[in-house]
Amino acid sequence: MDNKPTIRELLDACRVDQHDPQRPELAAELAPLARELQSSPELLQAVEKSERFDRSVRAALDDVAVPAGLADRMLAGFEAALVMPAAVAVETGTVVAQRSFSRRQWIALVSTAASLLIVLAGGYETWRWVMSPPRPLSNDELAAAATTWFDLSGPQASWQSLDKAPLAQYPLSRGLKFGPTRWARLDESTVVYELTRPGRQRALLFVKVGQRPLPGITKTFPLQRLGSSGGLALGAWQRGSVVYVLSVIEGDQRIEDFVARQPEA
Amino acid sequence: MADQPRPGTTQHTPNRAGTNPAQVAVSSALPAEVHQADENPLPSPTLPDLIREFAAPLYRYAFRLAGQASDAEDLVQQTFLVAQQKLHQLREAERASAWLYAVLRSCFLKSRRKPIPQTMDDSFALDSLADLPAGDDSDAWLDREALQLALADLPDEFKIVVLMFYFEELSYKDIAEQLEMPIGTVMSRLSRGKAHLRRRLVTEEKNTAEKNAELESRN
Repeated sequence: MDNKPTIRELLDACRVDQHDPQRPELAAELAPLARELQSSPELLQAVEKSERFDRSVRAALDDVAVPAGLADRMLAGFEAALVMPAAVAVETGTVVAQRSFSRRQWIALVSTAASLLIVLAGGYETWRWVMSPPRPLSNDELAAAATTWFDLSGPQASWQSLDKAPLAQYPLSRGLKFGPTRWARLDESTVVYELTRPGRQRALLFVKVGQRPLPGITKTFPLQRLGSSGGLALGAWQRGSVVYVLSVIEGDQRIEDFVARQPEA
Repeated sequence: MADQPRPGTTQHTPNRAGTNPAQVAVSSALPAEVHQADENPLPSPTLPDLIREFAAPLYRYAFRLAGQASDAEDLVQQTFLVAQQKLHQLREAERASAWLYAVLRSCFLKSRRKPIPQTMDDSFALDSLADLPAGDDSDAWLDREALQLALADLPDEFKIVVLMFYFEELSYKDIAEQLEMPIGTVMSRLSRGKAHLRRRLVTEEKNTAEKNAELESRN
């Protein structure tokens, strides 16, 4: 854009409380504004109004509710990831290192390796769970599997629209208050349905279909709370050989908001 | 638009996080004597340190960029994943905040998967000097939902510039350097983006006032 900026554009480019027109490094472009400011009371008034608006916007931008336990969840995730081999160094910005792969290839490689590791770990746990003879399943085991599924259900999951959902094989529970918006397959016997409501934190329903009912899980609705941490609430129930695990990040919502009946005490 | 954090730009003022936004640089971008003269450098931050200190402000930034809580959390997670891979390049703790903001911005742009379409600037009109609809005392507090709706209307190339200005408190010059854009383009997008916010927020405010008045008259 070769056109000279208007006074309005120059005014809008000035930050609140930073005295940009007086800054030597910005003086070249802002000089016309600085000159006008000395002689125009209307412009001074416009500057005051503009600054008031900027302060309000800045304050409002900061007014975002941060999910409870966000840092704890991130920490837990990265502690788990530390078992991975040290990632290859990737250069940023102006530093250019000797390389045989491009930066995108390295990132893709590391991401693929991490995903593979997670999938293998999750798959192994799932395989152990499915192949072993039915035995009482502890809350901790199911919670660990659900946490793995939760990690697999990020943007890298193969999310699909609901019209392609395998509802016959992986039926939704009638005890849910909200319908899903999309779904993804996590492994051969597990799918995830996204229940996140607009503007709210994440809520997912994992549906696992087994060969036989598993002892140890509440057989029918309402849900049985599982041990979890970092703001992530887990609840499980079972209908026939279908195990449901509801996973909700609590903060401005509770897991009970998603079920039609309150869990038993 | 550049999709990478560009360290080593010429910012001279700290942002709200108390850091110098331009000091995003890897330390190799500085002359060796600068490091030697720094007798008491802050220890290099570890990833857990960064997560504890910056998860919340990064989430706020991500939420304003992405507009969805779940997307925002994914973005923050992605940011720390990249930070973990590149942490060895961050040798000065005071640069961490700006560096992480830049990484998050880069992750957001990549998450779009396809290049951001370049909207014709003319589709967002400038305000004139006399035309400052949202300049009175009533905007001392703005509704965060209304602001998010107004931001959601902005195409990404405008939103990025507006948020870098307000959230990262970068000057137009630093924004231009980091996004590798001409200064005139940044000024134009910033001004048009702000004009759009003013108009949308005033409309929301008027609608709310009219609804309130209608309710009062019914009562």
